[in-house]
Amino acid sequence: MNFGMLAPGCPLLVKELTALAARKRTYQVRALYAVLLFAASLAFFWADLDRRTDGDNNPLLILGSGGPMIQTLVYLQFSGIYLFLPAIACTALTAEKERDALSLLFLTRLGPWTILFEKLVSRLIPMFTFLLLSLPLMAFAYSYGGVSQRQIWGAVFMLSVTTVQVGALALMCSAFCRTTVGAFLLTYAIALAIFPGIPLLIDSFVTRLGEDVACAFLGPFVYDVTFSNTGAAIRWGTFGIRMIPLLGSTLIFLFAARRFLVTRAFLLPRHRLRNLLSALDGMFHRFNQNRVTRGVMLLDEGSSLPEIQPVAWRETQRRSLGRFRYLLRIFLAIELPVVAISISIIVSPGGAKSHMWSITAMMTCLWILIALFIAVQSSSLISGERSRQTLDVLLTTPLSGREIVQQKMQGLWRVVWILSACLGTVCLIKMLLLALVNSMGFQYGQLAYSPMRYLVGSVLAMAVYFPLIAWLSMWIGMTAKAATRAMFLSIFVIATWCTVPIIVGYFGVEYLSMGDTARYLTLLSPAGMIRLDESHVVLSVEHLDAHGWIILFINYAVYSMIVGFFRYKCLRHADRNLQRLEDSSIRDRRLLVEELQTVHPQSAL
Amino acid sequence: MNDVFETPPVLEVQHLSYSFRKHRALLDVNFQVQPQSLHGFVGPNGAGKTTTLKVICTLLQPQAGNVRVFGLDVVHDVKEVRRRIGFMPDHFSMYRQMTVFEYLDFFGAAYGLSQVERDRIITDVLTLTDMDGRKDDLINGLSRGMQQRVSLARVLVNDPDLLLLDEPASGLDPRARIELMEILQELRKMGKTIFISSHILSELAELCDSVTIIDRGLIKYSGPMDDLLTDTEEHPAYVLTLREAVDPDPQEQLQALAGVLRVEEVEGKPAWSISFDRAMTDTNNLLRGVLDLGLPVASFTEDRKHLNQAFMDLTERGVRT
Repeated sequence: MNFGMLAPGCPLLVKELTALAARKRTYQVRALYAVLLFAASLAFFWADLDRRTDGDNNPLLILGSGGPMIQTLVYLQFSGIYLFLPAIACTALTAEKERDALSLLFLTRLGPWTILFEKLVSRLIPMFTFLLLSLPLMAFAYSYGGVSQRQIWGAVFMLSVTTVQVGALALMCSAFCRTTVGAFLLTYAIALAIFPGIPLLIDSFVTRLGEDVACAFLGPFVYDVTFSNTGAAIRWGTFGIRMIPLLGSTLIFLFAARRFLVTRAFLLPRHRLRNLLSALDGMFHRFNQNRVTRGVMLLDEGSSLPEIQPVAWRETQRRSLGRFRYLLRIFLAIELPVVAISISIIVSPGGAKSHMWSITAMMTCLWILIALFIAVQSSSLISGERSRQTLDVLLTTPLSGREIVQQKMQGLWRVVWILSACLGTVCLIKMLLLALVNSMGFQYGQLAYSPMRYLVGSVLAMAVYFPLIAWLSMWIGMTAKAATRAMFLSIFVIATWCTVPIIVGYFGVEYLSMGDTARYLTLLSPAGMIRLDESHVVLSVEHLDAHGWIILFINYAVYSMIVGFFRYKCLRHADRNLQRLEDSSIRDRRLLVEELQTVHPQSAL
Repeated sequence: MNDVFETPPVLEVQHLSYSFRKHRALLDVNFQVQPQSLHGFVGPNGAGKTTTLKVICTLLQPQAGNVRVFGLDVVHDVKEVRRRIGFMPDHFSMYRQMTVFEYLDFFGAAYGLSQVERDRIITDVLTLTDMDGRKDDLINGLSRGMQQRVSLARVLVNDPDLLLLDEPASGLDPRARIELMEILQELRKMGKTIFISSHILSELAELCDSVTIIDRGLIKYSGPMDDLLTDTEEHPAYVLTLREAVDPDPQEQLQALAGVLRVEEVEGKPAWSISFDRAMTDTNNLLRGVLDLGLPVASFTEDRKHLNQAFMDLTERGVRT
């Protein structure tokens, strides 16, 4: 692709677009977006047409159904913007900072606004190419009729405004943070908060805000209330007022990005986790200095040196998240608020159903956070060493790859135990509440769910899914070149695995009337069983009553095998995955087996 | 050229080839390193130095040919080879939140040494690298030169017989560089074999016994340093320096001497480089001829090429494509 004509005016934009065009990942992401968009759109179109015809073969019934199709397509594109654009745009400035190239840009004639503008445009162009992917689908929908021009032009306008708004937010986070990982997390956190997490929470729990206020920053809302109703005339005055928060927030993001670009251009590593742990250390130390405890030390970790497992020693003694002292403090720092929130939920007015819903919401949040944490930690164990260039030296020692991997995981298992204990507390509280509800003759969800089955299910979920996330992420981390890539890839794989079967199952139930077959499909997702345990609405009453325990054990037996598979992948070929020569004894054994399989296929088996 | 060596080599690379997809990194690489020698490994950027080192230290598997360390095949005797080598990569590979002692102890344990052995060896290597006063300091707080010393100490923790050092002096200030080279000299005296890849040619010329020059994956020279720095046996060159300039210019008279092939004036002083054919004359006869000309001779010495010149003669200009 030739971007030469832009060169005199926008050198940074040319450089970004050229780099983007040369990267294989650009095309992979675009293909993935296209697959998801087409699959989802066509599924919804089919379901809509099926509903309209309702078994009747009269083609006239589907005429005029283009309008809802366009609506569906537009909402899918809005989802795409909120999901993909933060990840695409948050690297814009952090990539320069990580390469120490931002200072070089400041030395050129490019001013801060020019840098921001060219960076923003370089990230918006790929997003617009994603939006253009829907043109064939639009043409398809248009051919059914019932589409107004206002719908289309409104969609084009609102999708563009939302793209710029989300892009500006990601750019601001990119200017603020030192690393891509930080910018990535901050962008999604802010997006979740204002699109429209916090306003909705306030609306639900504090005071009624009304949808105009709660969804003020949401492009899809403005589109919905302004352009989707083809019958009513557009009230331009109201539309103008509704555009103020969107455009205003975009401007605020851009001005903040301009400020951070200069003030936070040369940040030193802050080691936030270590600082947090030090602060916790100081706080617990102060608490400990009282008349009762008088600074008592329950555990003196001293400054021991490695005995026989040096890598495990480093993971458990020299990393903040491996030390027992810090882990205990992290446990207390999470456990105490969790218990406090749980108790406040139980004693608050609102009834058993509301209590159960609140605890389930807390459980879901904890599950997501813990899964993310384990994925990030595990994927960076090896890839982090590779990024810091400390791996090569370790690989030239006589330690086998298997030993290195197993010892690396030891620190992580400690963290997993601590997090499991926090989650286990909430499970226990919920089980007790469930037992209480059952004993009072009420039922939660569709059926009176067995507290014992809930407890066993929760314990098995923690015992199977945490190692699953850990080994899967470790495997990804071993094969990835850089820590950031490994983290993103792990999160993406886990999120996709957890959500896609549930979405497909939901679609099957809601639109295709597949019933329990579709419900069982959701168990292909690791989150499916958790959802079943927590919400009790996934399977029908009859199925769950009759086969509840069997489903539970089969599910976790299958997932245990998958854990075994990923563990095998990590350990069996550890040397190869770590990118060094395999120990000859292992290699010779494998060659012998391969030879036997070639000469005597049956005897080898 | 390797036939001159008689003792079994510590490191023997034979017909080694390696490619990264379509990019040929090494092609039929052959060289040997003798015991207790300091062997330089020189080449322009992208010549294949680091790839060769990674094959030797068992990180990459040779795609063709074989590599032997102390007679052990790097593919089949992986563990034993790892025990007997110490590898220092071309970047600082440090765990920065450890103290110097902890860092060395960590690697001592990784090599399977007992606590008693580790204590003794670490004390020794810290003394050798002059870091014993900083053993409780965090690595993060050390200067680049000090970190390089710690890195060298780490290489020595398992008492390897062969040290593989990839650009150990890059990024160091002149003082740190000189001190590092002094430590390497000391190690050689202790009987270690050192294989050092470097860009700093002048230091290699003084330090190394032998050298291998690699360019674009091909070995251009491998053998004693002296042979590289002097001209061939058949056509040696000597530099004649006069106490003062003479008139007329003696270049034509020198050119007319029996057996002389070429006379080149050395720029900036009254000196000439005289190349002659050993089959027609020898050094004594040539000197006698020069003296017979009645020139005010100040010195008559072997013309040693500078390593830079030898390097430029052997390697190709331009970047690898």
